[in-house]
Amino acid sequence: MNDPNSIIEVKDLTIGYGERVVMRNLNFSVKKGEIFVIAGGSGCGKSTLLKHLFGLYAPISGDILFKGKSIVNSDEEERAEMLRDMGVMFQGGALFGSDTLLENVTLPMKEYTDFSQELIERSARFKLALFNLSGFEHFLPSEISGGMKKRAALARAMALDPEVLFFDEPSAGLDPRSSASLDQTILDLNASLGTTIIIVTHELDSIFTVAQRVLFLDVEKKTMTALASPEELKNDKSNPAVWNFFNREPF
Amino acid sequence: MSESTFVINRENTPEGLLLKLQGALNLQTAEKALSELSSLIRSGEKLSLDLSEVHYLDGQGVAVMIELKARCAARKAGFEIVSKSAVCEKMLGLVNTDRILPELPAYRRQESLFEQIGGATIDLYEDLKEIVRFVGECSIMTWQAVKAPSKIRWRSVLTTLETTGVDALPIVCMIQFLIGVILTVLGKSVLGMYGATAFIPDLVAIALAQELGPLITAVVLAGRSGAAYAAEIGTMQVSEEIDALRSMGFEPGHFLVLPKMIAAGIAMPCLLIFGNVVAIIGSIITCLLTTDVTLPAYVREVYKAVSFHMFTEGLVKAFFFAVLIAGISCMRGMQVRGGAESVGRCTTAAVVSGIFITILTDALFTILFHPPF
Repeated sequence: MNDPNSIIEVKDLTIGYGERVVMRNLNFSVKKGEIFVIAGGSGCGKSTLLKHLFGLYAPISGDILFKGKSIVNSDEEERAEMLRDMGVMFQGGALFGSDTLLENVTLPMKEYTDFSQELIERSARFKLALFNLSGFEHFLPSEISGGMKKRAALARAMALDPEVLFFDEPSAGLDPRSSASLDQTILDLNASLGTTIIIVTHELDSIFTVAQRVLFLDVEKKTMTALASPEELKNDKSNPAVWNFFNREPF
Repeated sequence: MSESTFVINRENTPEGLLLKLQGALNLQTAEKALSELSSLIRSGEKLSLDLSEVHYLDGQGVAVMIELKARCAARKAGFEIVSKSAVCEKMLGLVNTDRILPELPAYRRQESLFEQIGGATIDLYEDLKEIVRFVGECSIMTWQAVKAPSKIRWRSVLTTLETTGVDALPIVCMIQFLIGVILTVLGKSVLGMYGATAFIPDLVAIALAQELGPLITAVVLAGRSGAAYAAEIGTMQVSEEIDALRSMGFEPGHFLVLPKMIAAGIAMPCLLIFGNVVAIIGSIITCLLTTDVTLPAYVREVYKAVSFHMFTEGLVKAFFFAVLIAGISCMRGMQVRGGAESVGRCTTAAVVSGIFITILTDALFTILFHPPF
């Protein structure tokens, strides 16, 4: 039975590359309007799981439901329809290098809406301004800093005002202040637009600032071993892997 | 004692040999120390080391200890470090040396000739499967584009047309000019023997229109634009831009591959016409300078020699070569996994496959247009 409060439901999911299993027996759901963090050590499969959640990779087995519909078994058209409700910010930004920031942001709007050129450009400029990129509309991605690239990527992910935003390691490579501002932006987006936000990260500061619930992936056991608020996980001594992670215990 | 001095003092004890090491065990002394210490291992006896006067031990020094222990084990000799200086204590305590394998794993076995041939055959089979799959995908994409031409990204087509066509014009013209000169000189030396220099224009025009023109232009396209397509898509693959496209619901084939195939398909016949004209000019200049063929006679011969059928055959070939080169180059770009090294490998593969598929298609066209039976 599908839970009406869930926007994404993961059922008995096993993921991997070819026959190599990365994670198995994943069962969880993400609630509408929630800030949900997927955490775990480096190389545990966090980003791989995230890419499965928006249908980029096909799982080995199991199912992922988006608003009650299977994203795994959907055809191309249905999936494109679902992807319009999702925005993704990739780790390195993944901005199109030969396009300006404005062109990067306008691209999804041009493809998916019948808006006039003026409206599309106004909207794109507004999205860029939202992330402090006014004045940089005609810059190429190679001409701006790493932090700005992430913000531009976020503006592009927000182009169609999606219901769910996926972040792959948003604070990777950012200085502490930029990282803190990005965290604040995530909180603002969630509070003002009610956007459901799913973040992959291992930055504890970020997790404690933004996360409402944290899914912990255990690299040794190749499955999820905890799902709770960050405070609960920090104080949970029953699960050594989780406790070590949240209390920065060295190996 | 200087930094790089290393001394071994021997002492016989009832249990075996006790070696008191002095000095530094580092990059400079490691190799010599290992060979000297190894020569002192006696089968069945214990080798004891006193490191209390070793004032410097680096990673190489630790490696000497691990290797020495392994060599002692191989000769059934005991191994013990009886005393350590503070520096050694710290350095050897950094890692649990027992966890580092005493036996080095055997180097990967060299594959036999049969295994290599087998492996290469399987790779080739997989690659051919991939090509067939890609050709299928491209055909579906082309059919969809024909059904709904308004969905084609024409702006992208125009941009690619400029880089693939206009920008390639100088190099294509220069090469074709030289080909015209070469063919004329060659024609003169062979036909001249029979007093048939008047037929040089026929030779040059037929060769260019039917075979050499499309082939040479295709090789330039594969080396120039094919490599660029593969590198561009490959880099996009590495920087997750392809994933970003998919995450927005865009099909990379429709978005990136199709415009390139269309642009190459339009650019190549144009390049061929320009190139052939320049080649004929090259040939005319050479003819006028080295033979008694006059300009009107040359032009007349060309008109007589090249039929409309021949001209169209060249253009049809050029179109197919271009579409296949663009398609296969994009496919190689899509195959990039990992980083810069993979981009380089796939770009090379794009050029090689582009030229190969051109020759293969040319052979098929020759059989089709000129059935041998």
